Amino acid sequence: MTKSERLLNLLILLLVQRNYITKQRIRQTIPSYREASEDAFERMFDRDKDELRALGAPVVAEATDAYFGDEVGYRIRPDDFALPGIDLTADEAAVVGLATRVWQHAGLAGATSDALTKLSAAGLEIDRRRLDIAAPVVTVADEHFDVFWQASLERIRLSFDYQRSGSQEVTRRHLEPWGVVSSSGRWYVVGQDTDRGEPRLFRLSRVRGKVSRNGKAGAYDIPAGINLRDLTRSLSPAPATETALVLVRSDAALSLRRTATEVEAGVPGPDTETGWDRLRVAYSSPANLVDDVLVFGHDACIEAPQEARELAITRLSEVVSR
Amino acid sequence: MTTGAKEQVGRLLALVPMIRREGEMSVEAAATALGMDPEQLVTDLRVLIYCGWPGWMPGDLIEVDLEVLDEDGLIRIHNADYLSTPLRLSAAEASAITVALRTLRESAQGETLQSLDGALAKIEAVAEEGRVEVHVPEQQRGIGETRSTLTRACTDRRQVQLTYYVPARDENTERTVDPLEVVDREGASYLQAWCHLANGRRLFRIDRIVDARVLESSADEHPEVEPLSLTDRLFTPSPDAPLVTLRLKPEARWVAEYYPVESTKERARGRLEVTLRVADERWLNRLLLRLAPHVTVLSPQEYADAYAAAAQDALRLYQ
Repeated sequence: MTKSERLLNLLILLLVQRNYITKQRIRQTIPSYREASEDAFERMFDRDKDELRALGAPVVAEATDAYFGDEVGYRIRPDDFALPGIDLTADEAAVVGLATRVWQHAGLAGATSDALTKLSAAGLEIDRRRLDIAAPVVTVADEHFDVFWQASLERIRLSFDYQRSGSQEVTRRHLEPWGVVSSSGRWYVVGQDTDRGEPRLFRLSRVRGKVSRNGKAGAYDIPAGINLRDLTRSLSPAPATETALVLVRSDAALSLRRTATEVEAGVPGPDTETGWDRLRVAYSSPANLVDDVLVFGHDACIEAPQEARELAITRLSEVVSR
Repeated sequence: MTTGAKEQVGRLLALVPMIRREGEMSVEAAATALGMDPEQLVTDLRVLIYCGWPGWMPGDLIEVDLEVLDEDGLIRIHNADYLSTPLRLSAAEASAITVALRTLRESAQGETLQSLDGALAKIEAVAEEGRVEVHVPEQQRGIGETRSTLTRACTDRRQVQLTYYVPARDENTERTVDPLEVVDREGASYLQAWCHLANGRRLFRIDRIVDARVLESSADEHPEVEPLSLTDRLFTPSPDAPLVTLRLKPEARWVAEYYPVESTKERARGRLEVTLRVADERWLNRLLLRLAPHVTVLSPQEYADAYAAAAQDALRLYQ
């Protein structure tokens, strides 16, 4: 029996059972397990279960039925096994194929095409060769990405050396990873920091040396209500929803002009060295607005809101008065 | 496509339900539908005949009609009722595809956007919570059109006329370039191109490209320019550029991560002293004003003086 045959037969065995089947029964049933030593069987069976789970097959274990004594029973529930029906329109199915071009990472690109294979098997006609939109790509350049991603999927505890932002000191950290997130091109792992007893975020590029996997898969639960999407959004700059008025010299502050929603040319300005224009620009916080205007030095100044104007004055005065 | 056992079982778990649904399919059609290699698919099918209902007596095994497979290239599968639906998406697959679709929608427009939204909603409804998430930075979103123009120009090997904004000079520049590749790194997209104005290889941040016009002329070949690898630093400061030492308050410490710094030293109260090479003083001045007053120039003195003078000039606008 080849390994593929063993895996597929194990899957069918677990799938067609009405009840949990004990490990010993599984061993007696499948020839390659029966022929292996006790240790070899344990190792093989553990790995096989993990591989089936990685394919998406929900192998569940149930301990201690009175009838079985202490033994653990296994099965796959047919309802959990099946891909629920997805009814995509022809247009929707046609664009899904573009997804294969997004990931610049072998593991994630592979997972995407495996997902498409399953959707195709369910009857969707997916076009893998559409080229009419240039797909943006997501790159993963962090060498530690794979170990954190895999551990999040398998729920395996990790420990690693971590260097905090701008600090020279490296400390050993212990984490129950929940997932990896990227914001503005930087990758982070999020999870429960077991040393501090709190959820924490670690930037992957600050992880030093080798990451150790500690213990078995499925060692902890990811708390309900953890939404990686909200968390990732909270890492990113807030959307620009407020409006400011900024005076800029004619022909200056070109990048600010590009983002302006309105330009009023030839208005009175703070001096008469040049002409001035008034820009209406969106911003997310007064501090961000001041950052973006100060870079233009004596070519731009905030007219409104007053709060941002005062902040600009305070910040500049402090430099001047040193 | 790999030859591992797990991958092979994965392919079979897609193939069997599809054939069960269709009744029979040609090897070619099945391979195309699933994005697989036809030869691989035939190899995979030969595994199936040794699998089936526990006990594996002749009547328990999955039947693949090997005769029509060999003679007519047709796939027929019987006795596999329990494999009539594809396997649900694994956590890895669900996160990979939903994040990819969400990333795509950032640069999609019109009908494509609508279709992506529809597909995404339906796939998310049947997928379990993802274990990977990506937030596409704002600056990436508006640039979809420029990005596709440039990607096409790279493929077609056509020259491009760029209007490019240079922040250090607050100036738009005109230049003809031979586009080489579009690269995405650290949340930003860049065009790598041979610039005829600079007569050298340059990286252009796509969000700073004000206008890109594809020209009739074909791009020159630049076999000496190697494609950037993922681990290459995009910018390496010239070793001749003057060294500047800054003291950063906690609010400004991000500079040490964002820009290539030569050295860092921890100071009291969370301050960080950094040394970096500055090729263009105007670039430094903009950075200092953005950070004001959370940064001090420790050396050289003339840079410190220029910073104070620039702050003074800007402050005058508010008086």
